[in-house]
Order: sequence, then structure tokens, then C-alpha cells
Amino acid sequence: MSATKRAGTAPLADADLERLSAWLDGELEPQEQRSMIERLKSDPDLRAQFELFHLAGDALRSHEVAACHQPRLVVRVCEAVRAEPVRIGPRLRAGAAAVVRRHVATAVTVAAAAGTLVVVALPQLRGTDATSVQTTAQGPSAVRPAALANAGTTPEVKATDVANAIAARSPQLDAYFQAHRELATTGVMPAAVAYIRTTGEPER
Amino acid sequence: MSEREVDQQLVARVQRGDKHAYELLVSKYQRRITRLLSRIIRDPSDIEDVAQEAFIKAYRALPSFRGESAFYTWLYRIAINTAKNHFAAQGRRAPTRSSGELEDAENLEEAVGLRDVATPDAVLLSKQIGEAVNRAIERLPEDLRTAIVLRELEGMSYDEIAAAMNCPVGTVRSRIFRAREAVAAELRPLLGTREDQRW
Repeated sequence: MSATKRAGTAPLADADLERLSAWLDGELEPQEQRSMIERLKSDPDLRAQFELFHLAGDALRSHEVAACHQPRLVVRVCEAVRAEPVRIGPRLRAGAAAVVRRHVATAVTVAAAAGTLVVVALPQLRGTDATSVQTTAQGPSAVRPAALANAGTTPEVKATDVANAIAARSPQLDAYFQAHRELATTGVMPAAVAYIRTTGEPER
Repeated sequence: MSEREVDQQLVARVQRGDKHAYELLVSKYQRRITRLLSRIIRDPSDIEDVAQEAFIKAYRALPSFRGESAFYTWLYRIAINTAKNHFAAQGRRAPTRSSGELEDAENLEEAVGLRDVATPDAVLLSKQIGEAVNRAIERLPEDLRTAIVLRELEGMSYDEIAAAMNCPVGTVRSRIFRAREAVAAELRPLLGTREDQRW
């Protein structure tokens, strides 16, 4: 059987038409199916064969159905569909929303992590917080109630003030701190040591 | 993969915004929908208008189609409802005993409840198509004839046909293609004489 002749482009090979025939019956491999649909979209001659093969099938099943062949209807519907806005399925809409949600969640998580790092870790890496030193310099009597009242507000104030309160309330610790002041001028938390020293001395 | 899955694949493409895929579905089902409507609506020009409206409605509703039924079954119901709306808009009732009767015409080809309102032209064309198909089938070698009948009339898969005919699947595929070509070649001049031909 000869290939279908057409002007301007390469003739449709029998192999192409056989693949088309198999595709109509759902008998092509998935990869071939995709390429067949793409070809049908771009090749008017293959598209004409698609219509003719379907017509042959309809004619075999019912002469009356085949006699209802209305090419003008197809043209009219296609023109109307081209004028319609593109319709996207719900699953795709949900999928797109899920992708957006995923990206937003990632961004928020990263921002939260960075914020936590700035608020909690950076002051510790830098050393003494100037505000805490100034506050404690005003004396334990002023700091203690404020420290207890503010416990649970900002992380830096909470840590230092609670330590201050414990030191003030436990005279047994004074000897311990005094011994360490002489031996440990620097340590893991030099700012805290300086802070304790400043607030502990007036008590003595 | 069945023919239904091919439709589903095209539907999925339309749902991703591919309008060309919908054109393939229209091209495939236009005759069956027109035939259905021709049994409900008397005026041929109305049939084409209602068919067009049904296809457009289906396109607009396609995003909500979830593939729980075959695409054609879903399209069929839209066409029936569009025909009902057509009669309602004209202040008339559908020319059947009840609206349920339209619903029951699911197996259209076997249904006898709907009136056949084919025009003389359509009757003549139908007769000519019948003769052309019979001519083509009679000329086919027996192996091609058997293959195309098992596929188109019995709806068997290539594997089933290969088992029935005791031959490889590739041979079945080739035989069905050649039989289709022969039938199409017999139909081509018949429909090519019409003013609205596309090929």
C-alpha cells in the first residue's frame, strides 16, 4: 500500500498511518502515544487520516451514524473553542496551589530560622549585652523586682536577670562566686561572670 | 490501554489547557452526537446548533470531569440536557413521552423509543455508506476482514485478536490498519463529493 501523497511536506508513510491506527485502538506504548498526539496537533494530513479512520469505524458499526458526518460542525466548534478562555482542571489548580503553598512554607521556615538565629544566637556570639550591663549597674534593688516581673519576656533579659535573682537569694553561692572570680576571669560566658560580679558585691 | 483510556488521555490534555486535544475529541464524536440529536430534534439546522452548543458546554465543564464515567457517556448526557433546554427555550417539550425516556436512550443504537427524523438526503447517504462499506469488506482478504470485525464490532483488544487468530500482535496491528485503509478508501470519494468536505 502506497504512502498517502500530500503537497509541500513529506508523504505520510504507511508506518505512520499504522501507528495512528494502533493509537486509535489504544494499542500504542505511552511514549508513542504522546508523540502521536503532538503530531496530530501539527500535521493536518495526519489529522485528516484520523478523521477518516474514525469515520470508517463508525461506518462499520452503523451506517446511520456515519451518514451524520458533519465536517462543518467540527469547524464551527473548533472556532468557538479557540475563542474560549483556557480551562484548567481542578486537580491542576490544586497542584499549582500546593506548589505555591510548599514554596511559601519553605520561605517562612527559613525566615523564622534566620530570625531565631539573629535574636538568640548572635548576642551570645558577640558577648555582653550593653543593655543588661546598664540595667544591672543601677543596683540589685532596682533590678530584682524588674527581673522577676520581666521573666518570660525577652530571652536576654530573662537569662541574666534570673541568674541575678538566684545569686541575690542564695548567700551560700557568694563564696563560690568569690572563689571563681579570682580564678576564672574568663570563661564560657565572660559577660555573665562580669554581670554576677557587679550585682553580687553590694550585697556583701 | 483501551480506547476509553485514549479519550481520558485527551481529556487530561484539555484539562491542562490543550485545546487541540479537544478538537480531536469533537472530531471523533461529532457523528454520534449528531445522530443522537437527530433522533430528538426535527429541524436539521437546529441539530447542528444544539450539537455545537453541547460541545461548547462540555468544553466549559471539562475541568470538573473526573473520569468516573467514559467521556462519551458524560458528553452524551450533556447533549441530552442541551436538547431538553433547546425545547424548553422554545416553550416546547421534547418529542418523547417523558424526560426519563431520553435518559434511558443511553444505548442509542439499540434504542427504539426515539423517533428517527432523518432527512431524505441523510437516508440516501446512509444507504450509500452501507453499500460502500459492504463492498470494501467483501473485497478484503479473509484475515483482514476477520481482524477488523473483531476489533470494530466485537471490541476485542489486539492481544485477544492475536490469540483468536493465532498470529503475532504486530500482524494484527498491520491487518487492522490495512482493513481500515481499504474501508476509508471506499468512503473517501463518497464523502468527497459533498460541499463541506475537509479532505
